[in-house]
Amino acid sequence: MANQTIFTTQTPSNPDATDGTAYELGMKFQSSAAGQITAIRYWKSPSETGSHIGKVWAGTGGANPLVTVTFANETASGWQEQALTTPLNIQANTTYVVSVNTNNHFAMTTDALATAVTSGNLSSVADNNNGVFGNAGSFPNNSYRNSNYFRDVGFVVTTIPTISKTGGDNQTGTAGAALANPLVVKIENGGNPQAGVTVNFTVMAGGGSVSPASAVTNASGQASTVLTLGTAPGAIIPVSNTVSASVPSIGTVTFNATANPAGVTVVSVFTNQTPSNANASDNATYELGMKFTSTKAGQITGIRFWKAASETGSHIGKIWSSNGTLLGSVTFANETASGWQTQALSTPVNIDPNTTYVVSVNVNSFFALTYDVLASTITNGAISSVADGNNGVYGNINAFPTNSFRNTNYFRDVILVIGSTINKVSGDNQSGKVGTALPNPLVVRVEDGNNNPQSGVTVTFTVTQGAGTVSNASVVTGSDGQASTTLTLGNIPSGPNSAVIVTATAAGIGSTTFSAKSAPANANAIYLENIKTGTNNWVITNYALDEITGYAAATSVNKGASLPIKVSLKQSGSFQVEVYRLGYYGGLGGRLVSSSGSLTGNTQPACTVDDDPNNPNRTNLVECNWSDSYTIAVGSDWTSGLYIAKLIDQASGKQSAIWFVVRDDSNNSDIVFQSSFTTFQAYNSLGQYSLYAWNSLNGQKAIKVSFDRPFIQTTSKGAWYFDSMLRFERHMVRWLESQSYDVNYITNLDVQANPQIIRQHKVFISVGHDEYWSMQERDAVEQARDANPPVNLAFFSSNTAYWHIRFGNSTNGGQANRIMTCYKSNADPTSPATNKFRLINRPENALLGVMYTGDRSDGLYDTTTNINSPSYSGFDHVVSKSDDLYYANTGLTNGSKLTSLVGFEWDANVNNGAAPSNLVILSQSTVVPSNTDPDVPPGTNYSVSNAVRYTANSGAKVFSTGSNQWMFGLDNGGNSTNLTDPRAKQIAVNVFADMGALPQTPDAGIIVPTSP
Amino acid sequence: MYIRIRRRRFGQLVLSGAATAVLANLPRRAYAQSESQLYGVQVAKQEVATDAPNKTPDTVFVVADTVTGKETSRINVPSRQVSNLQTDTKLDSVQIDNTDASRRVPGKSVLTRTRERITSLTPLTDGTLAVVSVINTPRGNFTRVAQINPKTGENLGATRISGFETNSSTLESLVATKDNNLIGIASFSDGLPPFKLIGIDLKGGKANNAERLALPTLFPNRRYSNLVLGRDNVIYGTSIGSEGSVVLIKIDLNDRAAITGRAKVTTVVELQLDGKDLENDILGLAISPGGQIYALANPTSKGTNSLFRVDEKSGAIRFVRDFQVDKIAFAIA
Repeated sequence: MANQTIFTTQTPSNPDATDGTAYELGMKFQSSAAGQITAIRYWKSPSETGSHIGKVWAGTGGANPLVTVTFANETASGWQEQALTTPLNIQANTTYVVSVNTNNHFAMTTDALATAVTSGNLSSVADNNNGVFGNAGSFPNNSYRNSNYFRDVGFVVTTIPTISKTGGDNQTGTAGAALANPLVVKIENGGNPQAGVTVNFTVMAGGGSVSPASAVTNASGQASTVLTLGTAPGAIIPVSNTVSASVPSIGTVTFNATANPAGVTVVSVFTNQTPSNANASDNATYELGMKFTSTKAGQITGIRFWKAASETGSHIGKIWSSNGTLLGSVTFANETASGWQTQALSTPVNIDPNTTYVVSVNVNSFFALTYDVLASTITNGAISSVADGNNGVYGNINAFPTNSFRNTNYFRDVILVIGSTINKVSGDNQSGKVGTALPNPLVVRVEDGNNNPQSGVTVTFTVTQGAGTVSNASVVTGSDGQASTTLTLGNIPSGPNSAVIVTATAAGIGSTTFSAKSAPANANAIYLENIKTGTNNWVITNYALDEITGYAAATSVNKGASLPIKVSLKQSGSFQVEVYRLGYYGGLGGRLVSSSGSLTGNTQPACTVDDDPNNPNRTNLVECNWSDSYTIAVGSDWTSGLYIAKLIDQASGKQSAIWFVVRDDSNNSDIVFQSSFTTFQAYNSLGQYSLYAWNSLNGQKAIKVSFDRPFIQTTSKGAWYFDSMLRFERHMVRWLESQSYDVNYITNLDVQANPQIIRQHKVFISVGHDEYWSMQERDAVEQARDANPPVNLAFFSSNTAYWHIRFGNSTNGGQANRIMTCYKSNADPTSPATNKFRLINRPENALLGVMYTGDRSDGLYDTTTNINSPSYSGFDHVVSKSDDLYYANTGLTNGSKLTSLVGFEWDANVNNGAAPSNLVILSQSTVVPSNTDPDVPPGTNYSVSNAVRYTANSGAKVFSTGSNQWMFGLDNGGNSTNLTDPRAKQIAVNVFADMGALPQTPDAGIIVPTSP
Repeated sequence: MYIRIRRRRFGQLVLSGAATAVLANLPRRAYAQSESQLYGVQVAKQEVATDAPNKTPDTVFVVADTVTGKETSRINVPSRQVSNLQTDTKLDSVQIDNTDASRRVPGKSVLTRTRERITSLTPLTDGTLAVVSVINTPRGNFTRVAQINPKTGENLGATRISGFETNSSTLESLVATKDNNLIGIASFSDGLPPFKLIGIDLKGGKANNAERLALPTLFPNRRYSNLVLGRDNVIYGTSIGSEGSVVLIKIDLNDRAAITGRAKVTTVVELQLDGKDLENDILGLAISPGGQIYALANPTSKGTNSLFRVDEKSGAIRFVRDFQVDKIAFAIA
């Protein structure tokens, strides 16, 4: 038979790719019949030079290939083929890898090996990790987008000695016991049994033993051994055992067996209990939970709740520590109409013995309950409810529930598997240069069911994504229960998003993963900033009431300039200023940039308040006129960003903050991030007046507010406000910088003062709650969108550009843009009135594509219970156009949901004739508003929120999430609810890529589209 | 039927010094209790005496007839010492007997002004009217309750209320149920949200959690105010959130949630003037013996407050007359 090849007519979509480095590029393949590899083939790029060596490897890898051959007489480009000196025998249905090195350039077609390519007896392996790449000369085991690198073989079916399994494969037994049946192999040649051949049996995994370790085939060509399964100390889940049977001159087959650990206990609190009221309702949403404890350590592998018959909507199960730290969560899928629902956790939660935890599941309207029954402990084996007189528990939806009423059982439960656990100790989330070892080892600890260190457990460390090697792949835990290894990052910067994932596995117990990132080539300023040492000391841990407060002379400052700040102490004394930049910084969220040392402060003059009730022209304006207390010298080397000047009163220890932005006016970064200082100020009620009646004295709002006053959001009186730099924007900053997007920062007031400031960037983004815009800002953003070249707009916000404001000079000193006026009605004597943009003939959807229609602020979030760890809930983002490029590589289909990303205010497509005609509706999310905006056209559907996009005539791309909190899908960063979703991250990457902004260090698993 | 009331009757502003003196010396007249008898109160002067924590402010007590439109009496009610005196009365050093163990740092206040403010006028079951006044000080806030005889305008006694959870707390509204429970709205932040419903022990001068009443938990990001008892023994009030529309709410202490076991706050209707949302909260709410709801408001931010009649079904408020008081109430007959 003529030689077969896998590829026939295929040609590369990119025949001359390069990463500027050398690789080993390959492909996994199989044959349906035994035969011989006679040649190796590869597609040569026109720019490729140097020598090439073809290799065929066993599918399991190893240090040495099965065969090699050097290519001779190569042509300039296209298919090259080199015959093997000695053909290589291969077994049927066994995976091998063919590879050829590349010195600089190579051919490729991405995604082409996602499905098997079959030709004759040969086929590529479609395991979602084929083709493969690695360091030149080494076994290639990394994969990216199932790329075909055009590596192939010449093959012929022929009679060769074969080894095959004839009995004993895939048995299941008890750990430590011998399997019932022997493992049997048969050696044949052309169908004829081969006697007298020595077969070596080797335990590859599972820790068992074989007897005998080698056997000689009998007259039937068969040899056998008996496997005694490994004892799997501490195992609570089945352990995979593998045994290889090998004849060096012929080949190898592998037997698989499963060892069920002896004595595993799986328990839940409830057994046959049923609710006394199975369909109760308060017409409100709640988080309902139960405190529980176990006398043994173990892993919570699932969450249960009793579903009321009338209950609808999505449900998220959560496991909390007793102090409210979210330990794990999972969204229920495939729910039945009512009764017990069970959902497995994708990552089990390890729990300690005799420790209280809380399990909770949200309820959207209906629930089941039995009063009073948790007054007494309900015990089932090792697990029990906690009878402390305050169990079960309830709270705001998706928040840590702490309230209790009548010891009510709400039928929330867990599935607990009692046994050993494996936990990360240290070494996660490091970064380093390619080709170098990380500074700190990756350390895990194994503990038994009594929480004691467990020695003698084999932990395997495997690089499961990205390129890299570990110093010890298999480590036995010591007396401290710990095992460690050191990761050396691979030399390949184009691994999966430059990330390396190492999985540490204790067979039968579980696994945990470590992540490390390698430095990108030509790193941008944001990457370089974020590899600096971070800290979480930027967090205000002891908010001042009024002991220390302050404000800045400006909301932003260009780098290299100086920023005076004004601080008032209630009692004269010493204070300190620590300046932090907000970013990612390995998850710590901030970096200390400068510190003032001890300063002397005093009490500043009282602020003036224009609220004489007898004055019909009163504005309730609160304005301070304080002297400078300290000047922040902004270094020319400071990176543009959101900054916090943390104020510390040394006598009381109380802390407050001054927020400001450092700009880099000469920088033309991809993205310019607008911080919503005008909205922070609108809600600022310091001095007892804001632009809102709800937080103004006697319910009477101000018409004017001043930037010459501290933000109440930086004191204990207002740290819980939802309009804060630390609420939405901080999370967007964390995510953008974790991905090393090239970004600069400004405020609304910078656009007011310099409308051209956004023109030098590819993308303008508005984040979170950006409600108050001046007409100058509105014009500036629209003109930037329509300019040549255009500026793309990404609104990761809602309720945006809703109120028209007008800036004025400060009363004291006449500083421009320090007073913000908003009558919120046509009572404004100046035209255009400071009213809703939609009421002064500038509807927001002409810019955003959508506009605010409603919100639900009652109970969707809890920012008061734990100021520094708030919880959020919302409505699901429901996909309505999954074939749109913004949903590419997400796996989302129409109707798919991103949990709770819509809230607490939202926008929708409104039929007022102002929206762009080419508007693309990306989502149709069902919402239940508690407040609606009356100024929308009749017939507007208040029950829907939309994410949209459109392309302006200029070519500018415009995207709107239609939600304040959509970025919670990107970053959790200290929230007690985890709404992050890799699909949301992929959407955001797609959006920015379409607008010309690419991340330098995207997460592993993210597919970065090619920038247009 | 819409009753026109002449402006000069209801529209009278703060009395001149001479007139105040004359009215203050009026004999203790008796006023008939009727459907039409509306009472109002306003602080006479915003200046704060150095011993303010120990006494109620000077106030002006106004009686008006909603039928005839006549302002039948305007009496200056002088300040009165509280029954539960403190020895240390200096505003900058006085200790406040609240449950919050921490104390405000003494010093100058640059962010909160020290001034008198009346936060409630409410009928009590003994027939008197309670006038709640608060002052903000650098050391904390003080709430005092005076009891006025509506028939005579006499200040029958005064009590300082302490026992709040924080030293920034104030009592922003007060209502008495038919079974003589006093329920108030406490601010945690110098008169601003978050708010909490609490019980008030007037005799002991203490705020408490009134767990027995299972009062509702309030959302922190909303303002609640103007509590008043309806004829149906349901408590009414107003609320406003960031969306900016004022809603009439009700709290039925006998209608409790299954999960919390607490009474519910239910929205009755959104209040509107001329078909538009109110930009500011109303200043006072009163329900006549016949069940008519009246609102005191200043929706156009002019120099004078006004009285409005409230349509409970539509939420529409209709202008009655200018009425320059801080709070309004009907007495219990």
